[in-house]
Amino acid sequence: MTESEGLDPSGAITRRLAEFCQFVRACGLPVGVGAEIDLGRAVGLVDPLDRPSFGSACRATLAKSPEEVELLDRAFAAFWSGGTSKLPWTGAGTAMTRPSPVPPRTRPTDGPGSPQPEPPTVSIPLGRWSASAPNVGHPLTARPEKELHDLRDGARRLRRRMATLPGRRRARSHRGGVDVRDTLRRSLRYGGEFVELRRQRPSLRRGEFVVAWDVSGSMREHESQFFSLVYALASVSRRARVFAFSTELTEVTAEVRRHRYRRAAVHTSARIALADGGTRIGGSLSELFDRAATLLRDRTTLLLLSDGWDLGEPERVGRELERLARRCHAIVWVTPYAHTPGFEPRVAALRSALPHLDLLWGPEDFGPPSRARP
Amino acid sequence: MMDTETWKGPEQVQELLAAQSYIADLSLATAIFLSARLGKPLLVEGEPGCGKTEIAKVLSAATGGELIRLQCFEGLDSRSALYDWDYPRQLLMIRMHERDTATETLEKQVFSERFLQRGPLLRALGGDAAHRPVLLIDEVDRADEEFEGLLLEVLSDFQITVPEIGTLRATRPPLVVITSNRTRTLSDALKRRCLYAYVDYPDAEKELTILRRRVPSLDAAFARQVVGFVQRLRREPDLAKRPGVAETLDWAAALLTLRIDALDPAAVATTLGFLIKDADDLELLRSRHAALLESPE
Repeated sequence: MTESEGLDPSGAITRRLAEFCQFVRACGLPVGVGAEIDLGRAVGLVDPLDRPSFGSACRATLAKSPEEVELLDRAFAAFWSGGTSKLPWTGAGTAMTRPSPVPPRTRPTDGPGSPQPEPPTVSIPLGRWSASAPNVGHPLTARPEKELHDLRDGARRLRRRMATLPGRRRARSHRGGVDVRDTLRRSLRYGGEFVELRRQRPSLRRGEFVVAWDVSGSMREHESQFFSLVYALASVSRRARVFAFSTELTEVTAEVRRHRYRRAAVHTSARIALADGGTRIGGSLSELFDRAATLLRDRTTLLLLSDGWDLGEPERVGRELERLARRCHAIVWVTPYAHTPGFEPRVAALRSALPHLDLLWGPEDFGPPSRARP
Repeated sequence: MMDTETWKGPEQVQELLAAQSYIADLSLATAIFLSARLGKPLLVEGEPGCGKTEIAKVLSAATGGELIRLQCFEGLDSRSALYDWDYPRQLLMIRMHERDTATETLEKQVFSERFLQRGPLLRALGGDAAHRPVLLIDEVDRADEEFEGLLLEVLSDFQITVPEIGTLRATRPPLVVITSNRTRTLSDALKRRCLYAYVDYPDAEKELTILRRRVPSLDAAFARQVVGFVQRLRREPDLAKRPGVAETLDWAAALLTLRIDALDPAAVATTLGFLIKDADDLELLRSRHAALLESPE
């Protein structure tokens, strides 16, 4: 923190900034050491006592997305306000007496007369355990490595199948037009003689996936299997975006893509913890359109992972899918029951969606080709 | 023209940008100020048409530095962004001197800076010391992820390695503005190297100020009516693409050209294409725009 050294000979500001960065990390913002150093340098250039400027400097150096800006603003308000503040990472409710991420430890030698730190005020939901109560949360159990490998192969097959449009990239080829630039460059090897003609032709555009994953109560028993599929789809498509939905839509792209399988399962499980109960497929698709319309392009395949059980009006599912179908390359509905003997799409939402679907698949179709449907 | 080293604070940056008719809030001005003074690239994300690209243009005008633009697209490679060799001229050189020059000498001559075609990134490193060039890497999310990897060396060390010549370093780091429409998530490595700013749709007051600055001949009351309509339009559900500030300015200019000085359903229906650039959205709004005109702010 070089620039702030002159202003801060005692190191008090630097210490406080380090505490703030610790606090921000505890709030869930992944602040690296580089960003921390940037903040230290920034404090040498803006007045740390000018709250708006200092807050803006924190935003510019520590946050890297609008979601992080929002979280940082709450952490900033909590840390620099002093007194009682709400925990910035919980919407409302839980409160603590001091905005510190690490509660002060009580030493065993402290006598009754010693000043005790105020215990943090926490609200604990009261309830009674019952064997017949449904599971809460979304415990995503690890699937075998082989299954994940097969699913990834299946996702790659689907991506190749959906890539049908020529792109702007050109690839070297034995046939196709002459690549003048490359031919000239190659001729330098032979003293300027045109010994080989280099050729090229347009390569196919890569298919991209947007995944809408139903995490409602009716999908609970298939959740781990479908998470593996979601993970496989996200890992083979570079621009994949993943949204989980039940009655509302939550983006889980970062949780799925940033980590290896097991950690991704833990993070995703935590992110969708509150999603439960029924499904509103139509409403969620409408929200998906609002939030991701710019992501849906002629190369995008929308995958809808759901059993089709819906609390909303089924006609809305058809209407929303019709709207989405106009913007994407293809829509694939993946239902856990597609390979069940005697399966027919009788669920109202699925029936209403059928005219707009390009494929109706089961997770088995992503498995080894011998098991997949022809 | 003011050198970035003499900038005193974010407020001064706000004034400089305002002089170029760009209205920046304190948060954005602080990010620009810190980016210039700390020598770090500025990553600007936000909705299309909200003035991200404009930041680089007004910075160039305010500092007197050359604006060097790299428009990103799928398939953008190092040859277009960094450098390439001028093969036809190299070939000519070989043909002219192959009889009277030793091969090694000829090779050195052929692979010298004389035959180097500089791409935008390399040109940005070669600016003069007095005026820092402004490097705009526009819509980086359109480029492939591999391209981000290529940017890392340039953005962290402001140097480019050409195997045949060596490492070329910037005499003075350029001001770098990277924009993204968030159509995909950028890599952590790229984000770590940048300061960050998010440009959202402006509120009514800010948009009105921008409109009055950019289209000064517009009547004040009419400008307020235009901004009010656009603000209500942005709040409409089910729109695939909401109008940005650029669309508001285009629309206002179109209304002025058509000598329309009050909004009515007929005028809006005729010119709605300036605000809405999506066929489905246009269809949706055909039946709604009259009600939107009458609804309160």
